[in-house]
Amino acid sequence: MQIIPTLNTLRRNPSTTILLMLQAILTIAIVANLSALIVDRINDINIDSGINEEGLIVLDMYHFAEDFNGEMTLNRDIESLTQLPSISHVSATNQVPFSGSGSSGAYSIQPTSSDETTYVNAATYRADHYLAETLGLNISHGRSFTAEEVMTFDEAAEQASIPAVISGPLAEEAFGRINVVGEVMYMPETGDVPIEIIGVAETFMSPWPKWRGMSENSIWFARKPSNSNFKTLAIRTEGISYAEAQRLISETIYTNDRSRVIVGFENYEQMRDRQFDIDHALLFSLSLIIVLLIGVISLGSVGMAVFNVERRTKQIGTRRALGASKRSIVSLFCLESGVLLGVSLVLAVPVAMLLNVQLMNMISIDSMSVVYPLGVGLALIVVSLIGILYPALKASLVPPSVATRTL
Amino acid sequence: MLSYYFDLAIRSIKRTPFISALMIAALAAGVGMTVTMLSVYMQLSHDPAQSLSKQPYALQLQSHPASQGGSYGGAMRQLTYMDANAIQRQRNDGATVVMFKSSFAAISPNTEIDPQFVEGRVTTRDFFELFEPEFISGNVWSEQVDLEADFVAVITESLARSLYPGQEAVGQSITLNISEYRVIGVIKDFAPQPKYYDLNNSAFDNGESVFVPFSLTPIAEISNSGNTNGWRAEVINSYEDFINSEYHWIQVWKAFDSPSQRESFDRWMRGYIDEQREAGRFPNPDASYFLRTSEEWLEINGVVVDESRILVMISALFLVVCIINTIGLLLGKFLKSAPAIGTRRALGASQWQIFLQHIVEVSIIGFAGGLAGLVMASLVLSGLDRILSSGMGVSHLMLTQLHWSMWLWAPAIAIVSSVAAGLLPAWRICRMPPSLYLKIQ
Repeated sequence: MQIIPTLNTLRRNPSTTILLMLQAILTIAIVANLSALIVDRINDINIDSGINEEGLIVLDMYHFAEDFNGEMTLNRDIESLTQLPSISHVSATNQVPFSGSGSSGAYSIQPTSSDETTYVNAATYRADHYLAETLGLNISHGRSFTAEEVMTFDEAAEQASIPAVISGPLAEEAFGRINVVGEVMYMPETGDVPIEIIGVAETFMSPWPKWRGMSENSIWFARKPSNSNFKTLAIRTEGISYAEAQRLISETIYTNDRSRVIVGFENYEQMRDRQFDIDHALLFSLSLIIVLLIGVISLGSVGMAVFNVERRTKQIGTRRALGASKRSIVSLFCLESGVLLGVSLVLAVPVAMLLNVQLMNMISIDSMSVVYPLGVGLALIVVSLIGILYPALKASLVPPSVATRTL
Repeated sequence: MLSYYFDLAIRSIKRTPFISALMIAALAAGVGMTVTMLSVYMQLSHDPAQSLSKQPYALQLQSHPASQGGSYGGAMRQLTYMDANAIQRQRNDGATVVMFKSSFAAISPNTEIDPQFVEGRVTTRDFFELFEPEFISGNVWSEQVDLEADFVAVITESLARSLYPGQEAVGQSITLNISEYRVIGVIKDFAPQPKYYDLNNSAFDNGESVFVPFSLTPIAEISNSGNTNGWRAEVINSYEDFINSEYHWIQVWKAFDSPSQRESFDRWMRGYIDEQREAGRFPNPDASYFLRTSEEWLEINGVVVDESRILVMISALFLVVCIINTIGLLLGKFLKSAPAIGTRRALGASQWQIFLQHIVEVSIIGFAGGLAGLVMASLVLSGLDRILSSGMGVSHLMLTQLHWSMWLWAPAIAIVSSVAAGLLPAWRICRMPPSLYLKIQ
């Protein structure tokens, strides 16, 4: 076997060997970590909002009339918008999943007058009873609201209990299980008046996809629109272009009441994407680094291999003169490269894990699976062996006579 | 001598165009990515208040129970209206800025112009003294207005242009929601990035375009469009309930002309805290206040995102790989030219001269790599700008502009990297015994 001469060659050129190994180790460690980070962020970006995003439009308005009546104005908007053939549902709500701003509160399974009460944080949706069908929210247990249950805050506080729909993760965090229909919760704002859970939506995200401990927790109360200036409508459209929807909807809105300004008109996907702009920038940067790194490494390695062959022309000629076949010259080069990369891979795994620990100190990511450096390393070996073939084949063409020429 | 080495270097680079281009490209990629990420990092950690004539201090008041959060350096980011108003009314010691963000529909007296949605800042006169927006015409309201409210407004150039096209704005009337204000001053558009004076919603936005007196808050019942945080349940039925609540929603900044002024303010603040604690309003026995410099304030608010730090580190590692790659190529290239060097040595060139000749060659490659790296950095930054500015809705995002210091950093990094890459190969080649190669010839 040629393993001994291979090792000798590597030993005799220590600087080249060390450089190639360092390069391979760092490349594997970097690419593995960046890939893990990319996969992590892609999962974040693709997180399920729990709603049907296609065709959903989010409209934000600012009202400035002195005698603005939120309930009256929005009811008229909903009525006239749903009469348009391309609009199926409209809901007046304070926020939608991933809207980036909204309200939240603390909720408990014990009455809040006690000192030992512990709280769970959740996004607080205040919307009419159309919210579930407009968003395409899937109420997996129990039911949604009826029109009679939609009230003002004051009306609700006077009832024996306040109905609410909550998200699965909130149920899980508060009660330890998902089907909690019929259970009660409490909130400080209404003291000991129980919140009766009438429905659970398995996935129903908060406006903040990145707020740890809050992102998946939501509670929805059936509320009439208040008189505050800002109002949001969720609008479900069907078979209509964005531009056409914008024209139709703005026209209707302004015809109903001119004393307001449309502040935001967005496709749901557009709005959702805004919550992940830093992630998109990170993905762009990381992918670019990976592409450049692979480019630099592969071109550089081919360049070095070509030099290597040129420098060893005489040695190869001698081998050929002593009877080595062309095939054995090719396999010599492949073996050298394979041994070098194999050792690098073994060393790269701990280096990659160290880099991962460093990254975990700087940013919130899970620890990287060892599959990443192994996978990246094996891919690098395969690609490098293919890359070495050209210079190796060139080397095998060195005529044996070269050996005799200069000695 | 150096010009001769320069000539030799250019010839050597031309002799191996592919390898030379490869080395320049590798260095350009490494330098380009490092410069890009360093630039973003510098823009994020930039403190616009550094150029102000007075150091502004963000004031935090630790008035809530210790158990109730306070994740901004041990306290909440904002103050209650009650406390902010008390500090505003005290106003003897130095400049006092008390403010919050609000939104308005701005309506021109010209009925042909549609009402438009604008962001506004409800603040005190000292805002203009402390944060130094530039007046184009008119002026800020008098000190008297901070005590006795008047419906006056300062607006930006762009808003003035769209509300009163072709007309002088000062003296015109502007309707904000339902109240009529008199325009008394026009400033240049004002949007420092990062927006150090209010980091509640985003460190990067277009700023506000209308400024009205804080003293109007309870009169015009101006609503807050920034953040409102509370630490206990409160039933709010009216605007009066809201401003008398323990909700935190007001930003307070101070600046002092002298240490004695600061001491005097400190005495007053301590007295105020004691008074409020005795009255039972501040449940924390250790209630205290903090003054943060703008730099500390940016740090506490985490303006430099983790992603930026990570990218600086990763791009530096990438640069290291590019350097290693270049070392390998240079080594190969230099050793291949060993016979020629052997001849030069035999003809009397010293080891040092050979070393210098190769370092010159490497520096030229490094310089070219640095230039190409700067070009690449501006391309990558414009890519990042496309991704970020649409999402953030900012018209001119500083974050993705090449930081001025990169014109120094880029060549420095490139030259240092290339010399680092060239040291080993140049040393190896100058140590070659000439006889070995002469023999082969």
